[in-house]
Amino acid sequence: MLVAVASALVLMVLDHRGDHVAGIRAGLATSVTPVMYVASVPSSFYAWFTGSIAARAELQRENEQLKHEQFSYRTQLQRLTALEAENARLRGLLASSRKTRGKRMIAEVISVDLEPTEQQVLVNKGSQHGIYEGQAVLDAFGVLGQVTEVAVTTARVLLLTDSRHAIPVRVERTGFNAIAEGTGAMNRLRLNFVPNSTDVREGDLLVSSGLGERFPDGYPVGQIETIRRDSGEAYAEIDVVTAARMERSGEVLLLWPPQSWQPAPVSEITP
Amino acid sequence: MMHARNGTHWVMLSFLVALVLTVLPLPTVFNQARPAFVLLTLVYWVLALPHRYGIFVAFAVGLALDVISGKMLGLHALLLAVLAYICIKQYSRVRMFTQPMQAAFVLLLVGLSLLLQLWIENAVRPVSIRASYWWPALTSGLLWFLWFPLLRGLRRRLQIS
Repeated sequence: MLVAVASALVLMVLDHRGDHVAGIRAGLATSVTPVMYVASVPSSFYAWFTGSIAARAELQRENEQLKHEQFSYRTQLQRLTALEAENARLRGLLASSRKTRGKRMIAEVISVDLEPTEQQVLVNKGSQHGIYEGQAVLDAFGVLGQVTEVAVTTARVLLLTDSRHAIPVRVERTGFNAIAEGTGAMNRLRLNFVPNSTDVREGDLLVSSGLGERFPDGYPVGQIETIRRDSGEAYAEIDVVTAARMERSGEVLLLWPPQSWQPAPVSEITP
Repeated sequence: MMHARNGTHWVMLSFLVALVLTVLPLPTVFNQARPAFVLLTLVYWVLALPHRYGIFVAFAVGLALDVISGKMLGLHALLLAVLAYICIKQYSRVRMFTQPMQAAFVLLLVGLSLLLQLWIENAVRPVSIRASYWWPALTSGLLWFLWFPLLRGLRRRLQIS
């Protein structure tokens, strides 16, 4: 009994005080991966089933719509490539560092329920795909979170909204820097230590500022929902709705830090 | 005293099923009240075969649970080891209990483990909980009425000893 308690305590301290047991952790996480996949079978079967009995007309309509969307995105992407080239050239003129897009990879969320008190998801890419701890994760609408644990074929992503998580952001309209902390509630963040007199408005867009050097610069994080200013307090209470739709993130995008600049090919996104 | 070692793989299978049930996607309401399946399974095997399943099995299962739930490594290992210790000390008494009393015992055990978990996590960093944090204790107690006959049936049919 004492041996078990002592070794458990030692493990907890080691795990908390640093990455001393990261190897053990990754190994164990890899060995329990099958459990996760088995648990996700019912919901993936349900998704497959509803997908396979969808009516032909519906599929045609969806196909049509997707084609339209893809066309419009393609045209926008042409402009983006030109803009990126121009941006890099201007940065070159200013002698500042060139930053462009790095490698990216799409991963799927494995539908399992993790701890209800914590906001995290499991994705189906791991260390064999080059995922690393601290990597930024996006969904189709904005920043989703960061990787906290990597197994061979899966990785655990801590969402922005977890109460342990904070991300440096910038108010896009004014360039004011702040830190958005998770609240533990779905799709809700809080801006801390914003003085009452600061120029922020409801509806302002927040983008990642890249100051922590963990998240890339300029991705949408959220939108200010309400501001409560109490004249007795030094700081305003600001609630933020995340740009990422956490309740329905089926696919996520993993980012790598930018490489030295080169023109981005259109088919850069690998599935 | 020598004991025949029968059906270890079945016991492992029951733990695996319990782990799968721990992460099976459920609607939010049920997710908050998800019974502690692994704990129920552990309590059953320790009560039924205390000479074979004890603190170290609990420790190993706890590690798996830690990794699955993404908690500090060793948290559940400690909790389950403590629970296994209590069960080993009390098994001859608990076996004589009526089923409602056993369910109450399980409710207390799960409640104790939730309380210990709260203490440990709170020592590391402040956590806030809602009343729904305690629901698993209640649902685990209720599930005992189903889980106990199920595992007992399994043990008798497969002659696990």
